[in-house]
Amino acid sequence: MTPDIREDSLLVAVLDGIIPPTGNLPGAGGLGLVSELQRMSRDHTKYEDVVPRAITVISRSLDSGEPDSREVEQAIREFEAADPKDFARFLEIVYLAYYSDPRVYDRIGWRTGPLQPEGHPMPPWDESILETTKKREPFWTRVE
Amino acid sequence: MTSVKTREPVDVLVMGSGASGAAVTWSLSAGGFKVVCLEQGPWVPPSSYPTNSADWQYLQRTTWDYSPNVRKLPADYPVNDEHSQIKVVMYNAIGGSTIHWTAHVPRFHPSDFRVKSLDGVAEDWPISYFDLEPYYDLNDEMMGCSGINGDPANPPRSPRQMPPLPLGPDGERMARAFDSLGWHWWPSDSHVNSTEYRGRQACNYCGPIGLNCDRGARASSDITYLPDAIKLGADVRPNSTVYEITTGPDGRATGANYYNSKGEQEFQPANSVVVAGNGIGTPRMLLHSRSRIHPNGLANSSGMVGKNLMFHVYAGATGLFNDLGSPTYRGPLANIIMSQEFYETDPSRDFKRGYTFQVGRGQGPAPTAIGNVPWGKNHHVEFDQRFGKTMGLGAIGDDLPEEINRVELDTKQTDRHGIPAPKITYRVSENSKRLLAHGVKSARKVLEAAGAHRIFENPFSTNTGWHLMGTARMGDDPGRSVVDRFGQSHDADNLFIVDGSVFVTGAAVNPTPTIQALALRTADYIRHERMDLKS
Repeated sequence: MTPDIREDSLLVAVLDGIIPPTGNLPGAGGLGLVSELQRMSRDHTKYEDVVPRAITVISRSLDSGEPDSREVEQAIREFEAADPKDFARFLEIVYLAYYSDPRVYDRIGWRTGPLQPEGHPMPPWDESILETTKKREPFWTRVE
Repeated sequence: MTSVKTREPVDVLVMGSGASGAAVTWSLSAGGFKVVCLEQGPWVPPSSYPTNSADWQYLQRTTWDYSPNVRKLPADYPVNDEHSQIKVVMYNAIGGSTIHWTAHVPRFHPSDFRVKSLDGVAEDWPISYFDLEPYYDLNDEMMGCSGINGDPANPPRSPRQMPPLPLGPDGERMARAFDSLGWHWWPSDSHVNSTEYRGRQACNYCGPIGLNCDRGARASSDITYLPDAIKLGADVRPNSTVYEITTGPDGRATGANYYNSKGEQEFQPANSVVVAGNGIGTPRMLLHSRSRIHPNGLANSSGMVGKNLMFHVYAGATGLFNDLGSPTYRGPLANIIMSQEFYETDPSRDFKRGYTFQVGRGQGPAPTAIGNVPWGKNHHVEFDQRFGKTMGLGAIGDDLPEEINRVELDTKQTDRHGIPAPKITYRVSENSKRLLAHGVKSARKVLEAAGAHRIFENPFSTNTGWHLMGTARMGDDPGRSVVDRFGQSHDADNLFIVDGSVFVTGAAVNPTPTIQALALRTADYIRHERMDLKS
């Protein structure tokens, strides 16, 4: 069973440490991604206990009380160095949640919704680009 | 005791419905053979493709991941690749891995079939490029090929069915960079429609070709060969997992035992068996089909089943641009242009054989960030420099066969039916390392010529084991090969293998059109020379 992900101050601080605020957009912590992280953890075994485990490991590096952002960053770095594989999975789910958010899409100019059916327009094939490469003599090795 | 239901006998039982299994199923059905095709995976409805979902980035990393060890879908079997420097990827469904491929379809060169004679490495194939040429053409007709004639790096050939996919401003920039260096490039041949073809729509360039679309723009064998095969009478059975190819007292194949879609055991008798389970699944099944007459596994009197595994080795570089005019995530991710400047052996270089460059585009937001953009204070600056502004050059290298690289049966892991998982042992050769180092250096030159302001080198890619080759190779010597030049087992004359397992060498191009051409050639042989297998 997937453990619950609690939206506590440490999780918010860690997420903000991973992806900080930019312009008018809050960081990954301030965006309120907990329900999305919970869904992603629940829907596939790949991520099922990744976030709670990361927070547990990171919290072990911190003193009790409210850590400041520098201490949080240091604790994340210690986690990254101690367990790069687990850290990579944690980073992956955070990036997935953040870069699936419509507010982030607005900032980066990405269209919300599925890739289909709209696709992207492209200028048609233009054969004139072949002008130079076409002049080359065949150079494949002739062998029966 | 479990009762095993016996089905009506057929002429040919095909195990696997991917690139090659589907081609054989179609061809033999067209030849009037009674064919059953057993596929361990389900039909995948086009509406379920990730490109139809706003959640496509998450799906791409979970249920649509390339690795069966990540997806863990009911049709997937685990692959123990702990001792492999390249990790195995594949897809299990009707259509096999063509459900999830990028449909780049370059052909082997004539020299790829003669590497021993020309370069003193590996073995020559028992057939030539020109033996396969008509089957490459037939396959292009069935799948639909976008491309153009005149490539100086390859032999002349029949016209493609459709013009090339457009290059876009980013692709044209890369093409001019190759031109400026005096290096070869050519538009990639692609089984992605540039125009409507046989009722399937043209590509609308949404990006990640591997995630498929319900336009049918990218060919896969479930929407090309199989519908035609079914019309011709083929019986294609999804969710049917073969656990043993059975043999008679004379050592010849008699059919297969399998679990049907309800999990019940059935026996399908057949006059002949065609194995098309890919370069991992096929040796797995042959090694698992031991008997008194075949104590080391079926078709394995040479001891070569599972050996000589080849993947292709990958390296390259990514360039960041700030003046391309249009975001690089617009357009097909792959299949833009290729360069075969360094394809053939050159004695002045410190490696044998060579590589093809493939040009790739940028991706959507999460794939841009994951594995590329650092976390922390500089995250946004680094993301903004990359998103929609990258072009990549991948060198796909000829991965010469070595017996030490192999597939065996795992002694611990099994699939959901208790069938042993494959265990992979694979190391990258010194020749490959030198080849890739050359590829990275050359990729940097191209990206510099194209005007990249930052370049990131990738000396070696790990999660790229999507080309599964060599593990039941063909040859004229039964002591050194598993099948003959027509894919017929040396040990059982009614057992055929038609997937990438039969490759003698891997060349430096994507293997699927060659796999399909070989399969069509084997089918042609059965149709014309093995009428004894028809009831």
